[in-house]
Amino acid sequence: MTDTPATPIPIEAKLAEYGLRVGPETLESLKGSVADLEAAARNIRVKRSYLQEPVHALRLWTK
Amino acid sequence: MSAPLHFMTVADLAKGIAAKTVSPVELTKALIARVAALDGMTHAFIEVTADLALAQAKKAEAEVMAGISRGPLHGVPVGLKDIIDLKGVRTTAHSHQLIDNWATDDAFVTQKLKAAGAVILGKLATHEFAMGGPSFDLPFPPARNPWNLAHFTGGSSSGSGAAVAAGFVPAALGTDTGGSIRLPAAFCGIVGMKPTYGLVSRRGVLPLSQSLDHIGPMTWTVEDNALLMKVLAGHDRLDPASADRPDPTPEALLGAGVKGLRVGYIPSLGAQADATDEVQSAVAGVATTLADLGATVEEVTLPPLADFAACGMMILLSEAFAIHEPNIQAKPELYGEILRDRLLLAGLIDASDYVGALRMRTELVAAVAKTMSRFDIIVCAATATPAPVITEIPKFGLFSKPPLTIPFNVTGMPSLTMCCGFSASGLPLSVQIAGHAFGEATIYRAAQAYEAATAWRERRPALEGAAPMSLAAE
Repeated sequence: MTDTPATPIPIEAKLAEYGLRVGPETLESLKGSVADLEAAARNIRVKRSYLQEPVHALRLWTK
Repeated sequence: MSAPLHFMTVADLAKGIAAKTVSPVELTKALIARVAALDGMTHAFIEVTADLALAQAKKAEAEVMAGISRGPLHGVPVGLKDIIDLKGVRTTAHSHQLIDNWATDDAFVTQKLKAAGAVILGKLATHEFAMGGPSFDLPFPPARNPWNLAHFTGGSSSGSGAAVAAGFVPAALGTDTGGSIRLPAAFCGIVGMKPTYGLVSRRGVLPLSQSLDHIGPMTWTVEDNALLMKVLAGHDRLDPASADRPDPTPEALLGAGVKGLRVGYIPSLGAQADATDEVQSAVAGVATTLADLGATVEEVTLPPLADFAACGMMILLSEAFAIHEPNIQAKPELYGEILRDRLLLAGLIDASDYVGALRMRTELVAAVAKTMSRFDIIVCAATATPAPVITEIPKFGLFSKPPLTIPFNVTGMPSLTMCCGFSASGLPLSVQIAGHAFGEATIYRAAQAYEAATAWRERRPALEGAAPMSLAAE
């Protein structure tokens, strides 16, 4: 299903970029759950046409 | 024999109040006393608004005695999840972050309840900001399941589920972003409805994920739920998601039976949703009962739960992070560990994946709509197991063990959970019934027919005499 390669999430770099602080134990548990996040992302990363655009807010003719 | 006052339904209380055989003041006093006596075990309430409630009850009683009727909630006590604003009272979200957050106005739904003459008995426990729990490092303890105090209530409307099951209030409001009304309703053996997206205004309620958040009622019976929904639903021009439609009539089909109703029965939502034999058997029993009552039942499948979970959780976490980003950066120590760490995970999501999830949502909505075109309602399990032990809830299970309720947050369709039996250990089992957008009346029709054909409403948790869980376990 995936046609866009998933890039591993750079956890420490992203947390630092946001200014988020974590201890070593939290970092370990985060790494485990990031694997789930990456799997979910692989499920999402497929090419989609205009037919799947989330443009509800711009359906001005219904207002 | 009639039920004791604290276990009377909204519908029966309404009849009693109208007939002047039930006093709103005496009812309110009785429930305040019951909470004072027993909620030390369940922790359903964050705050009992006794003075306000008694004033509202006195006003309601005076109006009833003067021949004024405001409908079935007139003089009936109701609880609010503590992310819903009640003017002059704190909205804490069960968090140190908002420990002094005093509401300056009522939420739209609170206004609706007050206009209907309801008595607001207090603010109820939640998972922190409707996302982090059950947690033991917050300003208030987590709610416990009245059926077994060692067990989880489900969340995030945990106090609402516990309070209704325990007979502290006949009805409560919850909110639902991935299942937060329906899961505590399931684990606590009550009825919870997540309405169609847009049916109930969210104004004055703390947001978690704007495109997935819903507000709805939690009650002991289906009829009570429909009565509450009738009051809550309606257009609010100040909530941009609010549907501008004619006044809904969710109660319109109560008592109509299910003869001819087209029911899609989903035996499994996929590998991640493997339910215990007890749950599978109980939900299959619902399908059988509906067929026996005259519905046509056909097995059906939906896209895998993993797809809904990937899409829904990606949206939920991204939108939640957008709300909490300033606080998670500036004062993370004021969050409990569970929410803080879930928000850290949310901060790792790429913008491209959030956009991808929004686009995937349109595919899932279309796929479910195609399936639903053949049915009036679909029936599946609400949870894979009965309520687990409260200390055994994983911090990170959002993707690996997603809630079976999230498909209907993603699609925005209405969905109700209700008791459909009990486990060998005496915990409630629950079924989920979903319907077409703005098809709440049809869901209530089927749910009430099932409820009337079974005896599950005759059993109540017995808190009197239960031993409180030791604080050490907390």
